[in-house]
Amino acid sequence: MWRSLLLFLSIVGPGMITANIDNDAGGIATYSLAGSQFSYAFLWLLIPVTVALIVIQEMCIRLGVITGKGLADLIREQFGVRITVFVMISLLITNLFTTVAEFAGVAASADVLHNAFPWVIFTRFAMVVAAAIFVSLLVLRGNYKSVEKVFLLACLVYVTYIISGLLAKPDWADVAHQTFVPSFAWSSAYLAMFIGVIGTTIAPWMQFYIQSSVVEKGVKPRELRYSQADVVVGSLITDIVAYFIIVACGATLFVHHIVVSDAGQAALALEPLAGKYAGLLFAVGLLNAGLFAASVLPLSTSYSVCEAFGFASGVDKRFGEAPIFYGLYLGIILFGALPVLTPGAPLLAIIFWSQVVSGMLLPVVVISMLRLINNRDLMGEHVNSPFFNLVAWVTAIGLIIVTALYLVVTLFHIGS
Amino acid sequence: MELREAFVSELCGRPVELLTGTKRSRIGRVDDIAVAGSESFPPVVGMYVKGTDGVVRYAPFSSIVSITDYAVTLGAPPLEGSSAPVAIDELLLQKELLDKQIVDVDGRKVVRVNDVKLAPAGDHLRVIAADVGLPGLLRRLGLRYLGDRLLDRVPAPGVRSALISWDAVQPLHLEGPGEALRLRVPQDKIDRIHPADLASIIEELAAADQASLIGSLDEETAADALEQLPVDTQLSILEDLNPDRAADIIENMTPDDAADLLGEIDTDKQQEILELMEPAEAQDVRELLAHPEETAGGLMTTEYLWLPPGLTVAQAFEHIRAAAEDAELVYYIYVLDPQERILGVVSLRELIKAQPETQVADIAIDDVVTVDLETPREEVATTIARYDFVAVPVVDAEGRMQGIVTVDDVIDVLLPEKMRKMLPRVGKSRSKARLPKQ
Repeated sequence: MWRSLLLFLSIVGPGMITANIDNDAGGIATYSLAGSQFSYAFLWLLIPVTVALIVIQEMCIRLGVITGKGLADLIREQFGVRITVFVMISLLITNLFTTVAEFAGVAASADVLHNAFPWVIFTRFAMVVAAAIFVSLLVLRGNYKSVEKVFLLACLVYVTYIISGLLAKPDWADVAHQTFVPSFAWSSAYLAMFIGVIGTTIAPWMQFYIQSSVVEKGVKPRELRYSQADVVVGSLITDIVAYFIIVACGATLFVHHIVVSDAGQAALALEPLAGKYAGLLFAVGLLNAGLFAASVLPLSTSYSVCEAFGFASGVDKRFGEAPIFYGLYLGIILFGALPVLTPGAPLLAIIFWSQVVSGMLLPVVVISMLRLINNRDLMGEHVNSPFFNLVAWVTAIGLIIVTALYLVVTLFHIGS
Repeated sequence: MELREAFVSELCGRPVELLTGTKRSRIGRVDDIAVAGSESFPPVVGMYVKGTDGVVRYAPFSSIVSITDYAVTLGAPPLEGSSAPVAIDELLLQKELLDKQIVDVDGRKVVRVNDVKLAPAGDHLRVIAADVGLPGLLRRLGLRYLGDRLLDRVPAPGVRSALISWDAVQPLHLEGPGEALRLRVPQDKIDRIHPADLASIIEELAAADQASLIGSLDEETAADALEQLPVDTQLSILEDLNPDRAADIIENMTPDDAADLLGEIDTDKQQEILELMEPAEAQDVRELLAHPEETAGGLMTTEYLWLPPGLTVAQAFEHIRAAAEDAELVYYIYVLDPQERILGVVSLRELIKAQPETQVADIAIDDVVTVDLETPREEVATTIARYDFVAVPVVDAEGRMQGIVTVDDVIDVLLPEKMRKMLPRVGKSRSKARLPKQ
């Protein structure tokens, strides 16, 4: 039994790390907005979303472990150039927008910090530029692994949401009711939030990242169940945090009818726990979230694209040896940071809408994965079970339907 | 037969017509192209045609009348699946080659096939090149014009040149999940690659392909390549090989590298492999395994050249000639007494310079610098550096020679920190300090 535990701990990593990066700036912002605008109305959604997250991530690791190849690699090999181009463009769009969100998170935390400590370093401009440089150096100098542990440790900050949620004394009857009884609204705002919550929890780039992680780790088919456990635990953790962010915001912000338009207001959700330090706590969490994801996301994107099209890649190569790889990476960082630097940029809105875009483009990745994982030539006996197929298809199609609904409702101004 | 150059991506999907008398009738589209044979530029042996009824049939090359930019014309109807002859080493260009990874032997790296070029040669249509560059990608997207314009410009450094000649290509093909890789083309193309380059190619492959590629090489090449890989990769490959094959390869590795590798796996598997190896090789490795890795005892190899005392230079050469095959280093030859204590050392240069009748004892150096079995790695390295040695002998507490540590095994200690990070970590299971390859 101990041997199993030890083996589990050595395999653990991809699922846990991905889960923590999942609560990035986009996540925190989206869940905060969900709680503050809709109270506990989205709590029920987290349950099916968690199931979907587990299923989809498990599919990714299964694909990676059995074939030994990354997702971009498989898509290229099985579907050819045209589809690969389509998928990669979708990925680039959502990843670029999400990178903007991460830098926006850094900027938003800067705002809050600046309020408390009006120093030059805490201006938006300084923080974002510093973040961009820090992240680039971290990755290009190869010190990522050591700093990764710091990031992971700092994720413990999210526990504060759990405590805050409890301390805020929400109406637990209401919370329980909303958790287990689904509700739905036809308003444009609701639908957008619906897509956003799903898009931020099941981010497209995470699928590429987690598959590559297990491939890199060299997980063998007989060790698959440890990776599966890793994914389940990671997904549960991430969604429990999401749950409590919504509860905390619902109990504090919604109840007091505080319309959240910037990070300072979102931070108030932590008041029950941290009192006047709520702002600082929130800012630290948001900063960590933004930096963590910004270290991983642009690099993951560059690797995926280069893998798909056969361009040279790898941080162990010089710039001249892998120009497209480095160009893409620096480009994503640059175009991720620039929009945030425009004065007066509505940070929270930017972050939120980037997650909505993720949600809209998620079906592209999920459907690609479904085609791959049901291919018997590729997966042998490890093809999807009917249940998994059902969950994945429902997720993809559900998202497509809600996206269509959203567009219709918004364009024709139906409802409120 | 009218043939012309074509790219596989353009040929597949092209309409197929049947010529009966003077009438042409459309019967389907090209589904795939089959080549076979072990030549450097394999010829097309047939085409698979997807008929208008959706059924795929086989048209042998002999039935092809012409291939133009608009259609492929057959002189006889294609054969049903059951009666179609399929060669053992048949390669399907679209299904098995397009979009897959291949090894560029001359470029010494793994590349992805964007397209394959065919050209007429003699009476055959042959595979002549793989298109791995941007123009190929653009062509697949239907942007051929853009791709051709790009070819006119000087390619930027780092962007791959477009075409790789097929005789420098080694296709890789996975049979199915967990199945062995089959090398479609003769292995001697792979053998042209230096083991260090072979190792970097292997590192670029997916884990499953790595073991298969190593497993399909001959033992010596496999051992050479395996020696160059970082320990993590070695272990991963070892896990996927069956013990017999693993033993065959490991016994061809130098004992010190073999000991380093076996030292990292659990004892059961270790013993299993040692028992399957040649007893002499296994014994060498067992001796080395007895010592901690970071000491001279763990780093040394037992494959060195030695002579008994009292020989002439001519006799020495006889002795060496027989033993040179297996020695890791031939540059230093040690003179040992019957108890294996070092009496002296002579360099190959001195032996060559001297007259055949000279006594070895006269030209050997008798003040020999040695290190002990327990000497730590850094100290061994500084000793080697200090005296500009290529290798240093290792002795036990009684002064008996146990082996030699060659400079390549400690060179990473001597390099500045920055360069050291770039070398594969031989000897330590440290994972690379960078983000996962996505």
